[in-house]
Amino acid sequence: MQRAVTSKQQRLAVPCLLLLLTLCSLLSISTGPLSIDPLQALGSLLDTLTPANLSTLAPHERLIIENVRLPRTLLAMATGALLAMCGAVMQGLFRNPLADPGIIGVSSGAALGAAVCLVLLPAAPTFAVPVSAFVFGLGTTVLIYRLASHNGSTSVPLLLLAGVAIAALAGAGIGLLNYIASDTALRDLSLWQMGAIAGATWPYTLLSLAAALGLFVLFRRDARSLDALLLGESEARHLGIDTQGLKRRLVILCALGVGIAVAATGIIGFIGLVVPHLVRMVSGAAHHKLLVQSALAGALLLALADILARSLIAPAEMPVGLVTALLGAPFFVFLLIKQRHKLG
Amino acid sequence: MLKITELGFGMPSRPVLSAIDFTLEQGKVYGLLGPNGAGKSTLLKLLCRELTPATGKIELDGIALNLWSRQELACRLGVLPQHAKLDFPFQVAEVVAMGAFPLSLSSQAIAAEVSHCLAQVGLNGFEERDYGKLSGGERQRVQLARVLLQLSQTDRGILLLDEPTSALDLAHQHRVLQLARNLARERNFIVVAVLHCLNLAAEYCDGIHILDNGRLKLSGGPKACLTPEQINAVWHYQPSRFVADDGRTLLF
Repeated sequence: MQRAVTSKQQRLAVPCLLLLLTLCSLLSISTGPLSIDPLQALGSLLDTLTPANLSTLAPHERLIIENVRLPRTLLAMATGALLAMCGAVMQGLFRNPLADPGIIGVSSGAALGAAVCLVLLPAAPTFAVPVSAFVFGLGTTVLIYRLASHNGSTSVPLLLLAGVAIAALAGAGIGLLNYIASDTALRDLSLWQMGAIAGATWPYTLLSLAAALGLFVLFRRDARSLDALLLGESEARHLGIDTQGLKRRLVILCALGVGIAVAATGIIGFIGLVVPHLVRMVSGAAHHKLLVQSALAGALLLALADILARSLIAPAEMPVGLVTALLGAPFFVFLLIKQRHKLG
Repeated sequence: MLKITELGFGMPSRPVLSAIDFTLEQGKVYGLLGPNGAGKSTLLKLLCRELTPATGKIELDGIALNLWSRQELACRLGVLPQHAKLDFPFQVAEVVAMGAFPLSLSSQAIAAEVSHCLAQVGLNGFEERDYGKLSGGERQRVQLARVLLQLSQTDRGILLLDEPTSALDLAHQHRVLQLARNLARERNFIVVAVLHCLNLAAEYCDGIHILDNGRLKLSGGPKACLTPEQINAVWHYQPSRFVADDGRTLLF
């Protein structure tokens, strides 16, 4: 059990996260093979919104900001927010702090859906990929939930084991698709599996931003119900909550969020697990705070991971999924050690 | 008023409960007693709609329990669980405030009710304490405060207590049951408590229902039901009698 927190920490959390997110976005826009002064980058962005001529950047530098760095930064933030919110909701839904879209196999299912679309339906329109990722993500979520639930309660060991099995099955499916894929599709698939934000385009960025905002609003409506669900399903029902409807709704929304995130960026692990934990340490477990701060912290963490991904081995780039795994895996081990008396 | 008619639960070949008939009146405390496996918890789950009866019916104020809307029922009927495990870091005030879910209260009104309900269970000033660091007894009282908040807007509440004294020390066992009795007397509540301590049942309950092997063995006042002969017939144990200084008869 983590400690409850002071109201001063809670009050400062959101302003601090917003400030850090602003600084991080400027850093992200100015970092890359072509280094751009952060203030000039900010001026260039303001120039696109107002008639004022604040920036002296060359046209090609403006072009890089508008078509490469800005969508990439926003995509990293939207995906980070999506994964962190879905992680927070899944942990509430399963009443277990170790639940995560990656660990319970939902990301793998969504990746299989995206891979099926890419390899088997190369002529499909752009938006077919997130739709396919969503359908497979939803199918995986429902399957795992059914496997792990019995008599209205969800067994966590069963949940994790079912997640391992489904992830292995999805991995085999992706492997098979790798085997039969064309060279172009194979390259895209490989990038996906490691998680990549480098290829950000405005359509995916806008879709991810819209999904992050939409899910934030919808999740927030269920924040109090999620709090009550942590007491237990029976207790939540006694409080007048339609727990079956709540679970169904949240599972679909999580699958939608993870499906879109995976379609846009591939498998990026540990954000959904690590971020809600960090936020709970600062702001406690009440979902109306947890969701907003997880969204902001998830956006910040993935944007920072993306900056590291393109800086650590510059001029080459690392897939951002590798960076989050390198940071997140040790943290997950730390959580397991800390909670092993409860899990063992 | 809660009216239970010909209530049965379980498979016809292996019923868990059968032919249960009794009425619970507002303003009274009832003890639900019986040996382990007698069907007490199952009956409590049927009373709070957690389970659906196989036969018979339960009516609240003349309306079948399954016809009440979720929210209306939650404002009238609260359940104190035997254990409430929370693996997440909540403050005590946040846990108690969860009881306000079915109510339409402003955040200021909820904060005031939280303090009032915590004071009722003897936890004044616990609002910002970490729920996870409380003792088992303190957690149970926090849960009771949550249920009291849930029922704070009704004067005809129904409070179902599943072994409410199991984690409490001697003084708090009495305080919780005194509180239950006050709710019945002053706010016209029906209180139903699953109890194992017969002396507590004798002291605080207006009516006793003893279950044995899924059937209602005995109903009535504590004096009539809790005699050594009846106890021996149900629990197969001959209790010793002890007369206290104040004249009460205690059974051990």
